[in-house]
Amino acid sequence: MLLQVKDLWVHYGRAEALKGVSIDVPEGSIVTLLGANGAGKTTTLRTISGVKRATSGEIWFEGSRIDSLPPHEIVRRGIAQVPEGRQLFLSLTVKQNLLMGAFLLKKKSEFMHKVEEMTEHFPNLKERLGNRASDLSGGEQQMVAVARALMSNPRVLLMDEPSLGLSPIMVKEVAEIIKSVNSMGVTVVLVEQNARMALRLADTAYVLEVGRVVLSDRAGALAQDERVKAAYLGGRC
Amino acid sequence: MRLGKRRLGTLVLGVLFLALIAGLVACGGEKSTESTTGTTQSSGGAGATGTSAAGGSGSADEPVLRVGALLSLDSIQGVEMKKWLQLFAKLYNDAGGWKIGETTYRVEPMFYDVGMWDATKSRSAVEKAVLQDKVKYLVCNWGDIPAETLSVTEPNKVLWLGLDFVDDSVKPTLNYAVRAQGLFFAQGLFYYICQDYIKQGAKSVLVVCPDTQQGHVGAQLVGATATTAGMQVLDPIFFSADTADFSPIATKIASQKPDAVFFSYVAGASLINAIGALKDTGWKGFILPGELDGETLNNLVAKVGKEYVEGMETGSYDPRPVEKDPQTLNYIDAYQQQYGDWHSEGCFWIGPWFIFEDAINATQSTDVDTLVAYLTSSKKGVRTLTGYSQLFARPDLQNYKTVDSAPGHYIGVVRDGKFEYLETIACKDQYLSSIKVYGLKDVYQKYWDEYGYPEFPDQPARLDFSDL
Amino acid sequence: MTLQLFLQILVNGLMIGAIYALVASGFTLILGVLQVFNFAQGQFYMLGAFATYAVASVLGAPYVVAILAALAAMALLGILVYFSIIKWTLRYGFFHTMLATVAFGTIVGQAAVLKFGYSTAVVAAVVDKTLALGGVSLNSGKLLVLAGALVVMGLLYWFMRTKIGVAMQACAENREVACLQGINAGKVFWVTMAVGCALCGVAGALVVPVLSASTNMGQLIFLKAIIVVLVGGTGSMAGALLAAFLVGIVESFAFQYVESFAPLVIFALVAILIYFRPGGLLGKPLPIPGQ
Repeated sequence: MLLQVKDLWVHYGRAEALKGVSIDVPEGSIVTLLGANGAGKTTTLRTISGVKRATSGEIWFEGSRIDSLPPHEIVRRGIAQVPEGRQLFLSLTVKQNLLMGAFLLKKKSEFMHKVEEMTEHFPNLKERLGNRASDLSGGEQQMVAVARALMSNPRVLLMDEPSLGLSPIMVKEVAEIIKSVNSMGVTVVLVEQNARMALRLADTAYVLEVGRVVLSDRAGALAQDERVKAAYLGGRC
Repeated sequence: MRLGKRRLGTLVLGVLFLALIAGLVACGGEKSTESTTGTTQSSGGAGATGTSAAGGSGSADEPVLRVGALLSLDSIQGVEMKKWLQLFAKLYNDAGGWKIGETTYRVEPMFYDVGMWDATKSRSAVEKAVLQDKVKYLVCNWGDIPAETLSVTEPNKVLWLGLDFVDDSVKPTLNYAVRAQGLFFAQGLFYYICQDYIKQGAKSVLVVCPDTQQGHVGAQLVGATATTAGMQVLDPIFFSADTADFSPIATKIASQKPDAVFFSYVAGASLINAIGALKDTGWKGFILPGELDGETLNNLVAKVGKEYVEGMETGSYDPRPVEKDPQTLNYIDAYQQQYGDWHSEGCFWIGPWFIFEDAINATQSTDVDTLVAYLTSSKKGVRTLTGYSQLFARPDLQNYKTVDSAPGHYIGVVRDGKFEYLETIACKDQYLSSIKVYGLKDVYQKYWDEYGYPEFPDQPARLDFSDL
Repeated sequence: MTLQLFLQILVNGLMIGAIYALVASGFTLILGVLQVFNFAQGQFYMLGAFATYAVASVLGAPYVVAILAALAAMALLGILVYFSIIKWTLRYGFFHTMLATVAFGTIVGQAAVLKFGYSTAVVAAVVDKTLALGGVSLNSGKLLVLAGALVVMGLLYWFMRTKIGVAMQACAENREVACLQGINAGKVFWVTMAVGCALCGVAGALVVPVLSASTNMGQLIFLKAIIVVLVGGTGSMAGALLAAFLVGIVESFAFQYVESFAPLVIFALVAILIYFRPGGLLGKPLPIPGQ
């Protein structure tokens, strides 16, 4: 198992956000976390990234425990995150955003190489490198956010609601991006409200309700599950 | 684990602050004299309220003469006055005590820190002195609020010999207050300098003051003095007291094109910056700094060069190059022996001590009423560290007791970057020039006709009664 | 008003504006990146001035060396303050760090009074010439301060575009996301303290040949720095620079007409500005305490 979350408990003050969440992420797979608002999906990602500390439980990555490491050390180990709502540094240029994603790269040549790689991957970005991030459209911003996360050569990409606020066409494009990222050998943990898209992409899926995992199975099987259909797939495209 | 870290953080922080405070106390406690700027000596814990610091060791039943002083130990004047009072006490105690009448007293100075113009601190200091420590004499003060002090000393029959920038302490209704360090009869200095500058060709003068009560009072007095001496007085310039950059002020001064500029209540860094900025504008003329000690002069010369301040006249508080009086020379020697270096900042302001000493020795009494009776009918000048100081009545306030002093003052001139003694302002000149400046001749004439003309110490004077 | 007078007032304003700009940009940098309201900021300015005095006048080193020494000393002190005080109080929130800096600033201020007393430190003017340009004479010392400050601002502009400089901006904008990029926030914080304090040290070093150093100069400039940051907008470096020169020039001209009411003019203008633009000229409103 590449990434393993074992019996994770997380509190915000006295409120319990996670009550014993366990998740297994096999290497090369796409794992999706489904659930309503406040189910604990984002909290799970934030805890894995180290910006939120667990009260108890363990997180293992490549055979070592990472739940007490600082965020930058977790990025160094190979876990990058595309935060919810993209959250680019709006006052910086696209290139500077990418530079931040590549903060841990030591050499400038390495950075330039990665930038080239990303502009190949996302051709739209090529002309946008000098623009301020705030000047970009939502779809472009999402690309920059993914590119930024990929700059550090991660082995696992945590994606928090990448389709949020995008047009249906853009949602499709994001799905393609996720697929292609995964095909590059990057393991993906995908948090989504758009369960239909997520289940189509993912190998395995977990359903969270108020801080607990209530269902987990292969994505194909879960898509057929009556409860999932009723709660998450009903009436949505 | 989180909790542990929090505790650790708090602990480290606590230890750090304790260490800082300990370092500070150590730093303050050491009598460092080799500070890089060659400045003032630090004053111990800097805030010891009501600490007694007598020199000799006396037995418990030995009579003790407690002399209180309300001083701001945040100011160099306060610190220096404390040092002088400690020295005077030590000199008496080392000689076996102060013999007054049939009794020999050990002198115990009591110091009360009053902050700087802080009414609350002032009040609690005087209450502690008078009500708790039963101090009967408050001699010398700096940084307190005299009106506040007097509201406690008067009903408790405590003799107050102090300094006051306004006329609160010379009202006829008061019985136990004598302004032994007044600035009312102190216009002689400015009058002398105005006359000297006029002789050298100055016709107009611009007064520059901080925008404080002192500054406004000062501007009025200096303006009146200059007018009396025959100068044209331009509209004064007031600047905010927390000014650091004097360039705008200097630019404005230069644009008014005065022949002379008087800086009233501008001292230290402000004075240096102000004169430096004035030089930058290209203005040339006569400068009169309100206060100028030796160190400020050295810094000023380093800043603007000696040519720019050549011929500048100012008051001086430093008796060393001037005084020939053996007793004063003894005091100067004793100070240097005791403290290892020299500061002149307290010399002028310590004047009330000598008036107190003279009153006790003349009456051979420690009784407050006896002392007051002597002081309020004073007939002669008393020698202080900076020349004679003499008490006079204030008929303009209907106060016919001698309760206000004309303090001793030197006048000096800057030559080749150094301060040169010019002359001592006579008590007579302080008194007469002030009356002339305030336009109070008629009031005082009536008083003299009834009570007789005052007599003055034997000093050469520029003015006589006929000059009024 | 003659041209001579006008230019003199303008140069006065520009010079003091340049000094405000350095102190305020250091302050706004620390406020933006660490979200620490550094009450001790002015003291670094004072210490920078005294350090320059010590190196130039006491040790007799060239003035340029003294500037660099003041810069290095204040950067080191900033780092020291970060690791000994800020780091431990940062996690408790805005007011805790603010109080800690109040305490530190007070201790430094009082210690300076004990050590240096009430006197002044004077560094002889580096250039003591008056430039005469077509009948207008200007003091070249002031122009030198202005030039020096502009050089420092140029260096700052360059620095803010290096990787660590961009990381500082990223941290200021969104600390959590910055951490998610692998940026070591702790490192960015101490570098920010070093830069922010060094800016003040340089300001003190530049100003001391023109204005003498005194132990209370830190408190005086701090108030001005806050005004500048309010006008410019918190967290905005460009705003701070713009506002610093504006405040300096307005102050300079206001004094010519209303003398000691000049601060009142400044405060009134600031009040009006804040009413219409709570975020200042170019910035965001103050960070909400506790964020």
